[in-house]
Amino acid sequence: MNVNILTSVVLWCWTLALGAGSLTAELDKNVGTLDDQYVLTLTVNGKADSRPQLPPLAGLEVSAAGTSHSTSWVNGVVTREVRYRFVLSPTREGTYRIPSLELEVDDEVARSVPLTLTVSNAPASQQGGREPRALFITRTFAPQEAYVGEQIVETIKIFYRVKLLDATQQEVELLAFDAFKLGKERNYRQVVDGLTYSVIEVKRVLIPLKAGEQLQVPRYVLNTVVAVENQGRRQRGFFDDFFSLSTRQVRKRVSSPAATLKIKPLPPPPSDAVNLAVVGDYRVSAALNQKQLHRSDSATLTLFIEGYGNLQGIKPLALKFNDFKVYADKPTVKTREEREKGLYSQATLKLALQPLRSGELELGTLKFAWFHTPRGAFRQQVVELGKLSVSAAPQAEPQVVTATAAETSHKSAVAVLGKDLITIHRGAALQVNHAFPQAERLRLLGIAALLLLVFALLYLYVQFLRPRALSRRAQAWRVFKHAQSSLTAPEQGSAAQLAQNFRTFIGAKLGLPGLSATPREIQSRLQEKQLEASLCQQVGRHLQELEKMLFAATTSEVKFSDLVAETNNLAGELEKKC
Amino acid sequence: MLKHLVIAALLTVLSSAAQGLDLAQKTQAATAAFDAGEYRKALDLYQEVVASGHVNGHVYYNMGVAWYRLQHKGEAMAALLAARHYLPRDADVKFNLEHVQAKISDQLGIEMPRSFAAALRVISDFFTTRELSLTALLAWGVGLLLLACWLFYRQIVFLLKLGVLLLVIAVLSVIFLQAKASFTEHWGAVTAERAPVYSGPSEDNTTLFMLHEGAPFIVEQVTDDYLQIKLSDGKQGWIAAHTARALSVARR
Repeated sequence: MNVNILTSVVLWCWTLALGAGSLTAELDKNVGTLDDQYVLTLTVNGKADSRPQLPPLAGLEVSAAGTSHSTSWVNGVVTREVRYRFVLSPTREGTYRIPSLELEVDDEVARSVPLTLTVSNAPASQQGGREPRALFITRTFAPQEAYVGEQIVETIKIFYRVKLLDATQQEVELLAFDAFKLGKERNYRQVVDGLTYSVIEVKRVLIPLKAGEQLQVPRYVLNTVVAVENQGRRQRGFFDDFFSLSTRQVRKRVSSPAATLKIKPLPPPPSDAVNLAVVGDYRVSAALNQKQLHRSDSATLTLFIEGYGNLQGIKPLALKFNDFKVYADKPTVKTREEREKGLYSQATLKLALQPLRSGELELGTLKFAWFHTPRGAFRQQVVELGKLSVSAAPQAEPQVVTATAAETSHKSAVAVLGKDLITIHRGAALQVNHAFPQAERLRLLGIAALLLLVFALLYLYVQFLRPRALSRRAQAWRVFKHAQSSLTAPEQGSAAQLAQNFRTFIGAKLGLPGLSATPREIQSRLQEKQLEASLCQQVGRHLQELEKMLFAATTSEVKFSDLVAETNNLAGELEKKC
Repeated sequence: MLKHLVIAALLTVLSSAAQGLDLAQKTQAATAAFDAGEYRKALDLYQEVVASGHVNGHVYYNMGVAWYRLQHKGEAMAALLAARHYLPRDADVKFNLEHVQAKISDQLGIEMPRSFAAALRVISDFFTTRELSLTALLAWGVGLLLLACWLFYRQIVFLLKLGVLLLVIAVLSVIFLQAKASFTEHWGAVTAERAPVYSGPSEDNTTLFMLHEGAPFIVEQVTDDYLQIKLSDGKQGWIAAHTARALSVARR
């Protein structure tokens, strides 16, 4: 047995040692069109310290598409195989040569065979003109000519008549544009040249960043995986999906035609208006949060700008008013996407106005200007800002005005505002030390520990060292209450227990065997404890009533419940006084 | 021996009394100077009080008001932030802090955004460390006393219940103390008109951004010449110590 195992191991090592490594390269097809993508598989058999590297291939975009490992043992021979997959996307027609690749496998240099790939310009179906296209992209722009900053709605339609298994947009940098996607894709059907296509419609907004007569918009490129019929070459496998029998997956790359747009520069803005430096179809309004205020307060002037266009880059306005110091807040912008018209933006610009004097202060009107895209020119709008009634600040304000009227510097404004502070604190509160140094903390911790220690010692004393008589006395009431709680009905057993509870309690309190003592003995011991005579007599009578209930229930005229109540009452009295 | 001890104790008491008298005189003089509009003099006196080792939130508050009267927003902000450290519930401190905050040019908050983990701070920020410590000790002491009484009078169950409740309060106070210790923030403010913030504790590092007078920040670390700071908007960096003030931080 052991000899067999040893032999197997030796054979395995020998086959591993003898198994020469190899590197093979394989293309899924070596003839195709520009629309196709080609999968190059490099298979490494054996142990390699590095990954195979593809040299730069002019005209081919290479992207890694994953790695798979497999190990098999057939007839005692172990085969380790690693497959590296690359997707090749041609950018122009021609014949490409993928050179022989080298890799050190199992300490030997393995080489793959060179491959050739022929790419034709247009799909075969289009070249012949007979077969209709199965997958193509169109796109339109509205408007075709625009100004810098104007939004252009780009509509991209992906037409397909094949089973589209996957579609991913290839990221292309739009150097001269900002792009915003408009909502979700729409799916519908459309007839083109008498054929019905499924259509995916994507919309996005392009905002040109610079002017140019023919500004190029890069192609919209889509990497897809489509299902293609096998044309009867492939046999159906037992485990194959029934519906996937006659199809195979093929990678296709489709792109829209290149497009150019004419982007015009903005004309100079009018000099007599506040330039908002935005482009679009907007309207402007303004509102004051209050009409009357104290000199020391501030009012907020809010400017609202809303309409179709992109306001994301709007900057705070540097407005000046004679009678106010102005603090501009950072603008807030909300944007809504509308599939047909593009971006609808709302910007809110807030300005805090700090009055520099009292009185009826006119803010007047302001003329705002922005580039109005429907007209293709700057539009101006006059906005009425209203006026503010500023009353003098309470107390001391006139003195401050005279003192600071001549100076309108930032510092003097602060001096005026400084009067609004709540004044200083006074009195004994200033003498208290609020510091809490480590030493004090440790002291408090020590006190807490000391208290715990005292409690622990007390507990130990009560539990273990305290005289039993004292302990018994201290616990008598708890024992009694616990025992009494179990009394339920006026039965013989209950009467016996009631008497026993009471006698045990008295016994514990007086330090005598309560169960065997006679009522008279108990009464006399209670008198020795200097208890009131009436209480002693009550206890004696009650003990007698309990004995009657216990031994001659028929002669007792007292109800059991009354006896229980009286027992509890007397025990309570004894607990307090004994 | 006993005679020496008594003399030493008497001297200690007399020394403390003299210190207290001196403190009272200084704070009264500072108040009088403030009322007379002599803010600089009032500040000098308050600073003497602080330099003597007396820590008091009201003194910092008064310093803040005086600095603001002298048009030093940064110093005012730093003093008021220190006052808040010791007087977390004081409405005057809160009001004046918000007032000064509204006047600074950097739009920065004087509170850090609260995270779920720091939820305990809602309570622990409401009390000072001293208050929480004393509450814990008092509840602990009275709780143990009640439990001790219960050992002898077990029939009075109320003693047991109240004692346990007080012990629970004591434990909770210690938990809040721990939370406070974990989350304590030492706030400071920029006192220079403009202060560059660097990526490290020297001018050789990258200048990340500029802060302006009064900008509040949390002190994360202190070196001899630089403070590592964090702003309410999450930005971090190092600022030269001479351009900022953090009064609640014990400098090395």
